Amino acid sequence: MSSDTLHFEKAPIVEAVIAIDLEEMLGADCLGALRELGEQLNTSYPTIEEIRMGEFEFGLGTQPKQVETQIGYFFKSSDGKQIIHARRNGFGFSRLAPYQDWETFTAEARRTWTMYRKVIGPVKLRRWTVRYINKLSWPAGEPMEKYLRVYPYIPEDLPQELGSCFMRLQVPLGSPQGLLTQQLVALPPEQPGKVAFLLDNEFAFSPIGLSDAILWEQIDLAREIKNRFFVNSITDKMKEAFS
Amino acid sequence: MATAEVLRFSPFGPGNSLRSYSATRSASPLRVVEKEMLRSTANSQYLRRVQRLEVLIEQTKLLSQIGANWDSYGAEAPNITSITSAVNFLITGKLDLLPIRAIQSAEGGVALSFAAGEKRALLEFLNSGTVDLMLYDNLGNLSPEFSESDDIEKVVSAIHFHLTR
Repeated sequence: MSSDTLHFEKAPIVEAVIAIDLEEMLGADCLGALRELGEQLNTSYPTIEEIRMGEFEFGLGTQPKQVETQIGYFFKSSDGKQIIHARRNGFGFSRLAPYQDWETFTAEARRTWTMYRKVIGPVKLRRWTVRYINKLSWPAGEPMEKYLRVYPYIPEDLPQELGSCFMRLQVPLGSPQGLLTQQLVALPPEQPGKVAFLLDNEFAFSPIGLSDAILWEQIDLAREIKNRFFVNSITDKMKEAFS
Repeated sequence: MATAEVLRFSPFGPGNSLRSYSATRSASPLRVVEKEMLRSTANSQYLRRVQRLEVLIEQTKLLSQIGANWDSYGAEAPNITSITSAVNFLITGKLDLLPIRAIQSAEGGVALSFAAGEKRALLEFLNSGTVDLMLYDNLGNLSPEFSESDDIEKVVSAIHFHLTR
């Protein structure tokens, strides 16, 4: 199986996200344009939620003041599985489980990005990311290395039991030049006798100098990269669990 | 060696040398990490949900600190049975929609309240081990599907149907 066309029957993906960040935060007046986008998307994304950002303002001799600003909207599909993040500083498209395939996922991301692009007008892009969050589970008490190839190593002379786990790695990527941020996070157990971990891979790239058409060609290249990192981060034993 | 390579790499920053990386980032490395973590969560619907769920679980566990007669009308304090049942319900994530809050129930136990548009649901895990469900809306209409049950699957379907139809 080539990593380009990787497909698992019971894919452990709990969320896939494509995000494109703008160079700057646009003015609050662009919220009107984003609302217009919401109206255009209303048939397939009927639920609208505001995205707000909280900041603290500190001044000498005064109490810290919390300021909340609206930075955009989430547009959610009626089943809640697809979410568009239309922000003043960027766009995102999330697909929650069950994940279908790369083609369906990117086609909808591209369609809705094009609509977002139209309503906000010309903007400079800062970076784009492809992110896959996977939930992996195995019997409690089994060594992590039986299921993962990337894991925190604790010397054998020390106790091997983990109370919790948060591991974050940043790995430079070569071609196209980018950065992988990989996080391994222990989740509270959902089933008795099982442990659960999130393997969160975010691939970030620069869109500088790319037209929209080329940008989506580049995003397509990320498919092979994200598959390669995922299959090499887990063992065959883990793959059996969702094949 | 590998660490130096990682530090030197700054794909979207102003420069690639270790010096320029240090000059731009080392002033407050913890803030960089904090900002990255916040961005990381904000970008993901799934992680936002996990974070919200953790808060709800903590709120539910804190209900164990409530004493009897908390409403001055003789209400029982939530006991270990009701708290454990509510926490287990939250952990197993049977509903896509998360409760908006977890509070003590006047009937003695834990109440999880749900909202979607004008629709409301109140799911109560009682100290006796049974489950009470009330489905209503903001206009004061009580839905006929009011039930007392210990079949959690049935209760979940009723909430889902009420909130999403």
